[in-house]
Amino acid sequence: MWIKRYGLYFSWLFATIGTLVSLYFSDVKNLEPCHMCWFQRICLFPLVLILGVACYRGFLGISRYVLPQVVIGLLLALYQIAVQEIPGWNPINICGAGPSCAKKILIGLGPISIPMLSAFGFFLITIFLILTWTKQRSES
Amino acid sequence: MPTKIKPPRILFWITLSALLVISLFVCYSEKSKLPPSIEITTRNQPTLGYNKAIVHVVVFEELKCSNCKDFNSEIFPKIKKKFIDTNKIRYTTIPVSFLPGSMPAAVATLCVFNEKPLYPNPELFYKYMDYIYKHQPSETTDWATPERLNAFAKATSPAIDLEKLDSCVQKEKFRVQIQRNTAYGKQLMNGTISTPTVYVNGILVNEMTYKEIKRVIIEVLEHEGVY
Repeated sequence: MWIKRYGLYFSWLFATIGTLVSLYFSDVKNLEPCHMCWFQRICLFPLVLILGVACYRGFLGISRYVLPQVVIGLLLALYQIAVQEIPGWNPINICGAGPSCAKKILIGLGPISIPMLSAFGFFLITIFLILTWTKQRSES
Repeated sequence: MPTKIKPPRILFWITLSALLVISLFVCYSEKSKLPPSIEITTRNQPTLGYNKAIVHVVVFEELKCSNCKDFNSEIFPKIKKKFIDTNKIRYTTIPVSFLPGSMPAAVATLCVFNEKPLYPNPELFYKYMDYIYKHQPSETTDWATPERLNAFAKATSPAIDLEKLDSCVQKEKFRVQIQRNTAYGKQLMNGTISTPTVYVNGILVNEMTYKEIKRVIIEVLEHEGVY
């Protein structure tokens, strides 16, 4: 089935696009990343290399190694969306000094914020990794 | 072996090159865009440099402000040497007055500039302003008296007609123009005027360091294809 052959490819593709978009905001648009953003980037950036090598070599077993960090990234993104969208709700202030995590920055896509893009990206990567994983498990 | 498949290697390479090309393209096209700029009118304001230069630097300055003093002693000489004396830019100062007691000083600089109404003298204006900044007393004292301004003028250059200057300052001949400048600056800066404020072809420079000003000037010069 196609998911077996292309699942890793798509998860790598979305991780790479996510990384490029993130770098676009920080280095081309000069938006300084907040702490939450940095944690999500820590979860995202290594995937480009790890998934890239796994995709190139066809190693489906990688899903179980990287899923934890992908899920953590997804949870961080969802948490930040909640902090930005629910007024006054900010239970633990992870942000510290530096750019505000709670301030929603409009990026010219209507109500869509950067953590929403992040969550969407992590969600897609998660889906493709889980599909790859279940496919591989059902066959072994 | 279930964990190994025949990987889509060709697709991988195609994607990698496509992403690389797109990234380079985005970087390149974003780099050639300039930040937002505003229109600034500088008629009858003291201006240095080649009058046909495409790049025009405009600075709002307040004679009593100590940041302007630092700007003039640290940054202006470097800009002058690198960009004005080499005919790369035009450089205009718009004197404003919003600190208490600075009006006579601002008026005096324009008196010197317009001593001969038909032949305004920007060189003398900058010389006088430079001398005032170099000997600027503390911001909290009320130092800008006609006597002090006259003494500064006397020490600046024998070319300044001290009697004319004195009567010009006493009559506050350029008070209206300074007030208009200040209101204009306030309008351009969305309500709160601060000095020194530098615009390069209408692009606001965010950081008052020579490095940043130079970066913006060169960016605009490159954009205009004259660097």
